[in-house]
Amino acid sequence: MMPATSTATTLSPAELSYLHTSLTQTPPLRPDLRSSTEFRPLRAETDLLPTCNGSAHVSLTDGSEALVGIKAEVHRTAGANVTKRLDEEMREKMSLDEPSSTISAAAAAAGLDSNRKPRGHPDWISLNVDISTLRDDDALLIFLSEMLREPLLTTSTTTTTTTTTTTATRSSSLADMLVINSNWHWHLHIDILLLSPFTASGTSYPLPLLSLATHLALRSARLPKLKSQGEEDPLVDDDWESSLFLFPPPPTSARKPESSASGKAGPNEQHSIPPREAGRLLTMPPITLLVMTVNSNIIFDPSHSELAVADAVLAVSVSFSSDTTTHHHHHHHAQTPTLLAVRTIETPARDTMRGVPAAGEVVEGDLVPGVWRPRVGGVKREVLKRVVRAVLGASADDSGVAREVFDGLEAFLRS
Amino acid sequence: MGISILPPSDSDDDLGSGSPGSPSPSPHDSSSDTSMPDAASTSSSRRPGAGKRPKLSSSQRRRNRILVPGETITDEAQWMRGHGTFSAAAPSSSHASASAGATITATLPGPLHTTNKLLSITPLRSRYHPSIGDLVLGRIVSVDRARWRVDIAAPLLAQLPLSSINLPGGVLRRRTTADELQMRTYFQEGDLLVAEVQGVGNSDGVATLHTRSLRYGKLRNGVFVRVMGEGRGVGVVRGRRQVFTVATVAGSGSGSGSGEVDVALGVNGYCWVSRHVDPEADALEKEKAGKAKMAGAGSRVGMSISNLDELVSNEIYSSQNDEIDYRTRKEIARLCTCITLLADAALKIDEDTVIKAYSAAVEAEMEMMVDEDDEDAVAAAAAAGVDRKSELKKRIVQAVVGGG
Amino acid sequence: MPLDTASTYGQTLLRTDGRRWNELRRISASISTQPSTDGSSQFVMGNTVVVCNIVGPREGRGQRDTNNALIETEVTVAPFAQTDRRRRTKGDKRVQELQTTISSAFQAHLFTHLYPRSSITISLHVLSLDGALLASCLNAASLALVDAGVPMPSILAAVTSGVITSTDGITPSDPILDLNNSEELELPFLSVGTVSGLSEHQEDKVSVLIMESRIQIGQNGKKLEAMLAVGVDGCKQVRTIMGEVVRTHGTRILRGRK
Repeated sequence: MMPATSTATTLSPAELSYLHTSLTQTPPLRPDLRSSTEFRPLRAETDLLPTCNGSAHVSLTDGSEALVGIKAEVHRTAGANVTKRLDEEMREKMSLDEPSSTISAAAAAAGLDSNRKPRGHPDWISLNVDISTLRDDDALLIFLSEMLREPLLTTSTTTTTTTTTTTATRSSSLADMLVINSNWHWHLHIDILLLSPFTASGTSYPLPLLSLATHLALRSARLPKLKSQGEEDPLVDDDWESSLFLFPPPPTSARKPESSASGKAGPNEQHSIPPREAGRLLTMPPITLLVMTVNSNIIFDPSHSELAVADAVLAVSVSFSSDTTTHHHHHHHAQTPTLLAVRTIETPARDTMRGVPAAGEVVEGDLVPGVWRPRVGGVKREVLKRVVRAVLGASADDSGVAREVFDGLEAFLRS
Repeated sequence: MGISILPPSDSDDDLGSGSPGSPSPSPHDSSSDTSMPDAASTSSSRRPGAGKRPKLSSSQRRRNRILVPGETITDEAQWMRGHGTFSAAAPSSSHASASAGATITATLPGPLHTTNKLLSITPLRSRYHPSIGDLVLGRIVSVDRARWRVDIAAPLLAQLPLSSINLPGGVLRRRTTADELQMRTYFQEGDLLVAEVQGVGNSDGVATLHTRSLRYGKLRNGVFVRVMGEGRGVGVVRGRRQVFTVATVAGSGSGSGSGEVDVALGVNGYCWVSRHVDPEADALEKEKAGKAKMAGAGSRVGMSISNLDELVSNEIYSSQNDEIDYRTRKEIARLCTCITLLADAALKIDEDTVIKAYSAAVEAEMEMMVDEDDEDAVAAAAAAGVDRKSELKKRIVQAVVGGG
Repeated sequence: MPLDTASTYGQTLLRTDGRRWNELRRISASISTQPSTDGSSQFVMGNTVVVCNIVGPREGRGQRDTNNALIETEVTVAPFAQTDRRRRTKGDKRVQELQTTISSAFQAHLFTHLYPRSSITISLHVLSLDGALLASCLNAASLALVDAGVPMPSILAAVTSGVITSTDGITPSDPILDLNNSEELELPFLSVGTVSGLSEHQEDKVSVLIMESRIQIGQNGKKLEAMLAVGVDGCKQVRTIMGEVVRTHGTRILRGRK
């Protein structure tokens, strides 16, 4: 069952009809005169909770506010001994002149990646969404948590062909970055709080807000530096100033002499990618955008009233990955967008009441212009394709909405 | 185009981490020495702001001073207490210095107002409290037997009895049980309407509404705007003209007068911006188009009490929108954003300020408009999108404040 | 393990964070932080941060009192609020008790007869916790209710106070004001909330008093009386601070309106 976006919309059929007609114009006329790809301005702040490894607070002008806190704990890896044994077995069986593709395949079979480090496990990341007015087992809440959690766990793979005919497959996911050694790993707790009351009239479906807040929190998350090495039991450095970012921060174009307010002492040190990441495919945390369609128009970041007349509502999850083996300066530009998921969300326009036409009762099914009828039907495949193209960018000139959002986030993090 | 992510502004109250850097007002430094009375004895320190017995006739400063709940206003017997104050029982006889009158204390935060001998406090922020004669907009929440319950942003839902609306067939028609069963054909849950407060319940403050004058009824052809109550800004001002028409830019080109936009400001903070509906002109148009409606017959005559029954037709309860062209829709959206802007800037909202804001917006946009053919200018404008918007906002606010 | 208070206090007369017995932690508060609700506030006491939203008075759903408004409270403690991450379920008994205490405190304190049949919902989010949970929640809710324009006879202010038992049994025990988390785990303490007396000449009245630790009454230093007296005085200080916050905010609003 597709989840509904909110409780019943409180707009009259006359308003709904007016809004819908406005949005079907070319170009769509939005109530706040935004363009179809324009987002409402956000206020954001990162690194504000001293007890958390990473945190972010995001608020919109309509009053919706979200706070995300990330805490990391060291946990023992289950089945660690098994992995070790397999690794030893594999080493025995293999000989040195086997082609590299077999090595990576064998490694993958043994639960290791091609660098022969242990693989991350999706259970190492737990995500929890708290909305005060909803019960713990509310369908909307569970669906939101899954929609936010699932893109974090996907593994992105790239296959590069080297000069010889061998192919090297490299893949990584967020969980892989949490490996300490084969016996220990970091467990991430991502706790998302929606601070504003959910049923307040005029607040929009919280998914994009929560997704952006999670993204910013992950980008600002730091893990304590490991003093131990190799397979020793983990010992961390107590000095928070020497902690390393989980995701390398965007390179600042102009380096300011004094450190910024978030206490990034020694930017050089923390910009360096942790040694274990070098040579890997680095996937940025995903962002999930809310997109709606009205007839043939595609509208991004819909507000509450716009959602009420949507023909279809989609949640599109996108992430960017980059190759860290390339030079540090090109790191920023080498990012390619990857579509992780497209989910349909039940449009609130289904549950609305019919409008009353001027000429009295009308035969069911007749379309009287100006009178609202609840939306029926699903999403056309053609429309889906256009939405994906708009998000990812159709050509070299058009970079796509996801890239714009991502650049906006990078610009914010850089400042 | 695109997205803008801003750091928290200084005027916003962002989350502090409890560290000394948080910008919240009045951090109380706990290391400043406080002279502590002996812990075991009862406290005899003075309440803040209480030096001598407060004399209200004193300084001008007092007029603008914000009072805080629990703060004593005066002990003097001559004053009567109004909204936002309460009087405690007279102090017991053991306190010999007490006056004969009761102490008046504030119960709400806000500045003090004295009207003759009446003391009252206008709260900085509160929900709308209905009073008789107010023009309000409301949304139907539920349909009960013979009446509707309407949300007017007050603490309790208002009532709209079936007998208080105009029914097709004339104003003098009796309400039958058939009408009771067909209530949803008039107003459904979610419908918006304009109404006047007929009365306010004595015991609970529940408002009773009526829509009997023909100007009031179901709203269509427009957009709803919400201004948060009487808080944040001053909100909608009572007493000034609340329903007015704005001749917008859209009308200038088309020439058929279709560019006029009606604005209805409800005292409760609910507003409606819609295409102007002129009953005479509309009816004439419809006659020309050959559609004979019940209203057509009497529409040439102006509205008066004698032919109200002819004019009331099924149309007033229809939610069918008319055809509205693109330019008019744009102007309607522009007016809506102007009203929201005024609310955000904590300016009062009435006919003057709305029209000023609108003219400023139109002017500003014309000045900032770029030649569509000039690609560089278009690209530059797109890149500076956010700055333009905030620039636009500042200019509008300045125009309203400066002109007023 | 951090140094505990009782062992070092006798010599230094300073607590583990360097405060004297009667010093409050740094308090900062702001109101009207969330414009989309009727009233909102943020209250910070040392490292404890509480955010509060008020919705109401509005038509009551469910139970309705024909003469008074009903106060409902919801408290959410963030899983990352303390050093160890811990998620509390909605039905957590301690949280429920907290909610009931806050609801009944304000039900008795506010002028609920002015809004019959309506309900006022207090939503509290504890974002960081370092002691004084009940007290901070009460203070945050108090400020948010003032912001929402709900009439009340005075501002309810709360604080915690505890006592350091002297080791030798001869010197009287020392009461302390505003305990942080480690002190709360170590020492007996209580949370007290007061409202102003009805006129200037009257004393403050205790509105909320919760104590979960065990303590001796009577002989050996009058510990309970000392804690209570220190607490009541601390509440007065907190009330002054909260009054100032409201005044500053109001003045800024009025200046903006002119």
